[in-house]
Amino acid sequence: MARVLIVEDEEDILEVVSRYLKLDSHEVLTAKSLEEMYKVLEKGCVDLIVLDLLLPDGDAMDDISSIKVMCPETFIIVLTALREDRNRILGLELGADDYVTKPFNPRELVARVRAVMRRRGSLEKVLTYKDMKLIVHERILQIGEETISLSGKEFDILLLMFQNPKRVFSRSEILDSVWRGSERSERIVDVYMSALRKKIGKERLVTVRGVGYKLG
Amino acid sequence: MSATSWDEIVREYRPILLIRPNVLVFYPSVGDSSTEKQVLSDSKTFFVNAVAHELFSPLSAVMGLLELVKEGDRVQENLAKMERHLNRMQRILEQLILLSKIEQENYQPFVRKIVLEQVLREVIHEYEQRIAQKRISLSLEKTNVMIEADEEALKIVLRNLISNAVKYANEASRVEIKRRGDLLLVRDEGLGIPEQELKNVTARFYRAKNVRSISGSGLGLAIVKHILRRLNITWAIHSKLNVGTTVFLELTGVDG
Repeated sequence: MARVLIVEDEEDILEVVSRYLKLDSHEVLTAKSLEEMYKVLEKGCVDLIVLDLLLPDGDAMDDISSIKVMCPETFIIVLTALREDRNRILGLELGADDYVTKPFNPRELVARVRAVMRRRGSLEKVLTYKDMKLIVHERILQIGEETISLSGKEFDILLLMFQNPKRVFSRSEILDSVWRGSERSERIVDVYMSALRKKIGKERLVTVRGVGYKLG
Repeated sequence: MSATSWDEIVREYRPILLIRPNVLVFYPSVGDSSTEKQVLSDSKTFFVNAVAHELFSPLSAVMGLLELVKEGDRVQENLAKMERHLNRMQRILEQLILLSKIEQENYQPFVRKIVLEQVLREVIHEYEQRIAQKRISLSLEKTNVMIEADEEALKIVLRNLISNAVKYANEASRVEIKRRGDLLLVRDEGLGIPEQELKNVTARFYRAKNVRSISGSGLGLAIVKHILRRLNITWAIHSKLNVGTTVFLELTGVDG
């Protein structure tokens, strides 16, 4: 089940598409203009947007990139009467994940939503080491039942280590991978490791004297 | 319509955009008028293509509603909605046929004597439901006259003007359609158009900022301009923000 936002100004199309997506067990939100769409997204990102391109307040093609910045994990299926190849290509290049041209059968749209969500499913990744689960698409760590929220860099450090859980990583390796290109001292790695050990327990992130760090 | 009569109109109604077959003249509330030559920047097939695209939305709605009907879901209600979309498709197709006709080099309008009020009533009838929903009081005045016109083209122009008046009129307001000499006036009390945007409203896809929450393609007035230019007819738009809009349309061969 996904949280789907339909952005379409033609009321009957909105109603029919909503109904079919609800029948397919999705949670459906609706908007009739770009303004309404942004109001919904400001309250929280959705899993997928079915986006009609020609809306009363503008051409939504220009908004695909903005949506992707605002909600990078959100998939977009563009719905439009514009059939030319260049429009399809431009839409896909701007970040749309699929393209459905009008007229369409609502069942076809439901199938496309399913296909895109399956693709999302394949992108969902969980890395496990002992009692820890790093949920990559949500950027969180779970230890048993407990969910631990991580800062951006904390997550990046753990992602590096979970990809080779038995390896010892030197401070310079961590620095190069996580702080790519920035001129930071290796001391910053110690600061982050100390904070991480407090969050996840020092037995799960151990110091290898004179070498660096490894998962414990 | 003599040049003097248009002079009267532009003196009386400001701001106003006067659209002659080859030139657009904008008269602001205060200050001098500005003139812009009407150029045919659109390709010959532009309107035909753009209007053809408009068919896909109602067609999608019909296809979706048909699925619901097949499942026995709110059959009568959904059939009525399908009928509305099919009527809309019919109007789009009629518009398409006229647009492709007027693009032909040897196009000649089929001008004959018609009763203006009869055509007006036919067009108004198409929007009766929306008029009732918005509780609009619509009046016809001095329109029971014979005129000389191409009925097919006139109907399409009137549809665009009357549907705009109904769409942008306030709830429970008045829409007046009246004849003043050789001019037909379609006046609404509603959103109006900001003065600085008035000169742009006949450009294709242009939609004034204050109406962008209301569904529309931005093609209607561009199509009216395109048709009237081909028929050599002058028209004008006077509008005031949050007061309303009046469109003036030149009538030919008025008798009665």
